[in-house]
Amino acid sequence: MTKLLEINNLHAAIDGKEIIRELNLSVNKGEVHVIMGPNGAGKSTLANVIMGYPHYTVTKGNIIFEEDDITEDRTDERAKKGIFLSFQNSEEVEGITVENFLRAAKGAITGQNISFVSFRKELMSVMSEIDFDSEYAHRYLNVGFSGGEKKKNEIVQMLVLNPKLAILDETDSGLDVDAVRAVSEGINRFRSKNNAIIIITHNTRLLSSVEPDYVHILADGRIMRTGDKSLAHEINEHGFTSLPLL
Amino acid sequence: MKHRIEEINKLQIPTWSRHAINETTISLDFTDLKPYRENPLKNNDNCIQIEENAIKNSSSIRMEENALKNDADTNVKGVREFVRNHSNQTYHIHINDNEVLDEPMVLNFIMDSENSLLIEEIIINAGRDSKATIIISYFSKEDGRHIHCGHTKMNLDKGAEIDLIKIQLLSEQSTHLDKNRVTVGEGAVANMILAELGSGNLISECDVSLESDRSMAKLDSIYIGNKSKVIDMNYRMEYVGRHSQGFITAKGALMDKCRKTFKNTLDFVAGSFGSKGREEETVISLSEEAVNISVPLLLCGEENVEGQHASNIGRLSKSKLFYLMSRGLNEKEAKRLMVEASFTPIIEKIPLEALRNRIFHYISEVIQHDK
Amino acid sequence: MDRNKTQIEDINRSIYDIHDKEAAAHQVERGLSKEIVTEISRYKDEPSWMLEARLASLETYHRLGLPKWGPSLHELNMEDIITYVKPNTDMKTSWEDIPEFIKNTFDRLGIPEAEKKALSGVGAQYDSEVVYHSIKEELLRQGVIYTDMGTALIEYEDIIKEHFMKLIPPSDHKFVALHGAVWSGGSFVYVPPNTEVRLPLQSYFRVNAPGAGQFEHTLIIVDKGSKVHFIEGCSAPKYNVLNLHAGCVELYVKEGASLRYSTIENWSRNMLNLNTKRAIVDKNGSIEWVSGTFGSRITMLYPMSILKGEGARSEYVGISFASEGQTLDTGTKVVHLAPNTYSTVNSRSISKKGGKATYRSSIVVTPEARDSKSSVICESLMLDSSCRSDTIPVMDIRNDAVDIGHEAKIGRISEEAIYYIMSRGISEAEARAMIVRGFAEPIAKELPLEYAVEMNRLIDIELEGSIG
Repeated sequence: MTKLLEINNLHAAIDGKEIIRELNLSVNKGEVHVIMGPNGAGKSTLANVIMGYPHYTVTKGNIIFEEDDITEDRTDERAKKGIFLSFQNSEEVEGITVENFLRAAKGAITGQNISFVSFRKELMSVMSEIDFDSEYAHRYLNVGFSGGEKKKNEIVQMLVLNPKLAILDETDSGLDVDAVRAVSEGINRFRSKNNAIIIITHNTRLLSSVEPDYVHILADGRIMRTGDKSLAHEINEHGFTSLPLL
Repeated sequence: MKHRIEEINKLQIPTWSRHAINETTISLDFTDLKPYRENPLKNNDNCIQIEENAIKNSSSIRMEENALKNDADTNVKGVREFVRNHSNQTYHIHINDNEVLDEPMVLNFIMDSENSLLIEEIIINAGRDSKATIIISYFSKEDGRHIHCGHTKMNLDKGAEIDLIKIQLLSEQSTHLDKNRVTVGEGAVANMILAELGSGNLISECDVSLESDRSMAKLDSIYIGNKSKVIDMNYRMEYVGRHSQGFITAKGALMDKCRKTFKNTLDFVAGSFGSKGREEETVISLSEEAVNISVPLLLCGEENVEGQHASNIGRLSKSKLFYLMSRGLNEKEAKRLMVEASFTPIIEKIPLEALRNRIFHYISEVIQHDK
Repeated sequence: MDRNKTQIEDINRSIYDIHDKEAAAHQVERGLSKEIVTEISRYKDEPSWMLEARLASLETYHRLGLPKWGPSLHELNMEDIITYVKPNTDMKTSWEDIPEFIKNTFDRLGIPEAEKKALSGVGAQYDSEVVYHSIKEELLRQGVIYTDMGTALIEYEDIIKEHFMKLIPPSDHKFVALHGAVWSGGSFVYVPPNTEVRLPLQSYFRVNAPGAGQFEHTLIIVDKGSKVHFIEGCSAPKYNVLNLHAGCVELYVKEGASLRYSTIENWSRNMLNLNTKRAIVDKNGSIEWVSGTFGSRITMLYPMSILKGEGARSEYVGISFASEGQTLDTGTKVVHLAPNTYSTVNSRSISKKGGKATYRSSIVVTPEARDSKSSVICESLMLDSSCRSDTIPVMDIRNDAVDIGHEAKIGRISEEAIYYIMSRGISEAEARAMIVRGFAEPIAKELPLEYAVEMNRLIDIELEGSIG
């Protein structure tokens, strides 16, 4: 097994307030990890710390990606190394179309000039696979998109940029049944032995179609328990509060 | 005695002269007027009953007796200079550091033929972390020509939280000229309501300076124009401190042949980073002859701020009117309801029920007379 | 993490800055006098009513004071301005006939090339006179007139006399009066009824002589049911002395007609650009202003739409980019005079490095203009804290059966948006550039293609060297 991501004794804070403490996590290629936890547990913070959101400060510990310490790396450097975050709330950027944005991103990540024609073909095929109207390629990035459309747009970006590690932050929330199916098909299509996925969620909807290898319970900024798929079902039935976490 | 006051309600950055909005000049004629002699701290209004404890609380207000200082005709620039030269009433309201007053302080100016000229200066100093509500009201007890010209200066020290509520319901022959200058210290909060409802000639100015970090101010304004009333308002928020926040909300209704000019300015000074400001004006126009002028300035010398303006000017939506009328209201009642609905969120913030009722009553009177 | 602000570089102006040293054929003395005005009129061999109009304008100029609002114009000294410079050529209808040094200038600006590709007609003015004018044969056959104002004054004297400075009278303001006294050059367009001019007409204005003033007059009449797109471009090389541009644009849009008037203004930063533009729109007619202001030291420009006929419409789309040493005071004026008239305003400004961008507007709705609508949206983006961005709108509404909306926003580049873009592998500098370009995009897409490309180059941001 090839180690992809290793988080060692991580502490992270925003505005002097510690949100993540003593967090350890190891992810190998080919694995799907699920991180669950109640609201305010620090799930989104963890995702953003891995992606390098500048407002969070890592106060202790480190993040190793493919044997590289990326704790101090800029966000775009991390993306170039193969980390992808599907945002819970994607930003709206006026004046740049989804297609142009993604072509620029692909160019930045691969370091190559991306041909207009072949890129468009690839994008259109990805969009149709997850049932996302191709008209959205010509719309401004996330501007006026519904919650579901934003999530689909994140999955399209993941499939086009083809990262080594994809972190999906609440990608299933706010979606109807059809959209959940489309998104999970996208995830399954992406999943391979050469990459890994971290799914951050507070429910188990996505897990009926995406089979996880590990399920972690995050509470109060640390991983309290780790188990297999059955742990997710346990939470589904009893909720977080009933779990003997410590 | 005639007095001319120039450079009132100056627009911070002038624009095309043909709109005649860059500044205002007014001539005041004091002939036959009698200086104000009543005590505004006493509950002397038969029309409204203000709770006794609210009056008692006002004892921390100090009054200075002063006669009309200057009788000759004058020509000055600005309301402040005029009031300085001519004031016949001066009040100092001092709230000590850490003092928290649960009941509002009330200054209730009742004008009538024996008290028809009020030129007053009010100075409010709110000490550190103090908290209070100050209500200043101007009523005409009877019809007749009354002139009110006032200058209120309020200073909020660090952490102070003051609600300043001004209610003006003077007679339609009256002239009301009111200037407010507010400075807000570090972390202090100034909540202001200016209910400019009465008088036939109305000039209202409010200049708020968010001087220190995290200072905050809210200015809510309601106005109503009827008959041939002239309304001239100039409200300004100046953002100086970092992370300061200032909001202006104005709601108005226009009827008959009134003329309204509402200027408001959000001015983000360089260095005010992290500050936020928003101004919203909603005008319901009930007359095809009313003149409605809005001048919302948004000035910015600091990159890291968020400033926004929104004005909505329009008639009552026909479908809304139809809906209300289908429930049995006649057109006038329906219109009153819409204006009331627009004003209510602001009026509800006034803590004394007697005043709230007086305002609602006034609005319904004015709208009943709408032709 | 290093979060230094990326410097967004200045517009590369080198192609505009090349100036020719050729002598002019004729130029008047510096300054402004009765004698100079008379000399211009005599030299141009004008009808006597025009000389009288010029002299009357001159008197109006002396009578009027400088505006009491707006940017300070104290630097302007009319004694230093040469009001008339005739280039060393007459007007030609073929680029081949134009002296090499002038032709080269327009070649560099890409004008002859654009003409071949995408234009119905082209006019090119060099200092005070038009040196080139041409129009496609087929339009001539349809009765479309597109010529320089000097020729029009002789060939279509009655039309000119009826319309010239009637929409914008010399008494309007001091610089219109100045224009009335010393105007020269510009274009005249007449589109006969029910004629659609498919490709745009374009006039390009170039100032070459240091200290020269350019006072071109553009008069366009679009007759009933017709349609045309007119483009003007302006540029000048940079000098250490002030140049003055006080042009005048009068547009008559007749019943059911539509006119789109696009301007890309890229004067050098020693130019005072005090231009006056006005359109009067009859029943169901439509005027669209597309305005890009990038150059000049000071610009004061507020295209005005007078919606005179029922159902008339106006649309204003404007962008300005104020950088070091620039004060760009732009916006629009709309007067709703008739029922069911409709106006929209969409303005964006970007400021940086001490530049000052002001949006100034006036929306007037008269009692007659019932059931009218107006919607204004203006947004400003500040790239640093050394610049200024002011919004100064006036709305004067005189009837109750209207819907008027005004929204203004001042903001900066959102840090969250930068993070989002960077999370896809794009550098911070490029992320910022993307957001700035995106901010301009809704306006850029309204421009003719070659101008949109030019605008992107104008807003061009140095990406190289900041990546990685």
